[in-house]
Amino acid sequence: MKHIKNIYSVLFFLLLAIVCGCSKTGDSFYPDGQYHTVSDVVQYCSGSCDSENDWEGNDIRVKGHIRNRANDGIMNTYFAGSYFYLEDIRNGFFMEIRVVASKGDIFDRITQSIPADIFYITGKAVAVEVDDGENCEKGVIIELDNIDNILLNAE
Amino acid sequence: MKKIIITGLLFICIVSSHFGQTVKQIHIDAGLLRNYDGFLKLYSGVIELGGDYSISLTKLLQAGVAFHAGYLNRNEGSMKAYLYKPAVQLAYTAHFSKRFALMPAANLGYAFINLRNDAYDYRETQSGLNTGIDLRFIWKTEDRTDFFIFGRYSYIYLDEDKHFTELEYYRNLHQSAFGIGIKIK
Repeated sequence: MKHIKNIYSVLFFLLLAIVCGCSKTGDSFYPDGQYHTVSDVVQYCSGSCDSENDWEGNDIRVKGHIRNRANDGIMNTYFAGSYFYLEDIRNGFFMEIRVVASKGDIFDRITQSIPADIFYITGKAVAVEVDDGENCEKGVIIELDNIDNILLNAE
Repeated sequence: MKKIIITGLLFICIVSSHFGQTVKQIHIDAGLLRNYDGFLKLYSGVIELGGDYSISLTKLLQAGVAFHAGYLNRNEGSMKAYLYKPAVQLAYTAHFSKRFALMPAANLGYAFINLRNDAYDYRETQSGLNTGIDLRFIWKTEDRTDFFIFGRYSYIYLDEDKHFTELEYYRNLHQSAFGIGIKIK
């Protein structure tokens, strides 16, 4: 019986130590530092509508693939609407990149790329609010205004 | 964390050597897997298969090693995730009647997650500590085989890799599985 108590004690403290070790929450995320994945940007730049955030209105760097790049119909829709989606191909998260200037040059660069190309984009993070009547959530889109703020396959 | 697992395995071996007349048992199970939050938030769970081999420390307490493999995918796109979860396990059997027993089990292991997107030739493996609990409702028979249904909760805390994600949120994976299995005595 003594053995059993010892086993339980060891496992209990082991699990306790693990739980304590897993509860760290300090993220070191600098929006205008290195290029971030789409997943990280989508999660970091979110929250309730009441919150005020360090990223709003500031430059942010993000990297990812053009969503549906191989679909010409969707690419035409992107061009007509002056936007495109950047996707994280690892888990499917995506975000809107709104083209606010240099539309022709930017879409030329996109159409010259292949689906496997990784885009590195610097733009202004703009908060958008989604209110379903019960909850109001804040998300992010990136405004892109310069062809020089797009790089392909290089950091 | 790998040291913890190795220590755990050694622990099981040492403990088993102290119990001469051990009763060995094998559980094999299959269930529907579901993922909540974390990096795989948008994935749909498909299946988890696996089993464990354990020895009786006492009439009611068992310890052993377990291995489960899971498969997740996305309905949209060609993303897939394969999970491999080796672990050590401590289980307790509560016999409620001649035919029915309840078996809670605690698992501690190290999980590997292989992510793939064939459309982009993308493959990557991440890993991290894995803990969880199982609850089995066992239907006992006179034969060598018992049957059970189970529920399983599994928590994976991925190792830090800033190239993979900079956020703690994505490193925490919560999963559940519900299914059926057999126990070979």
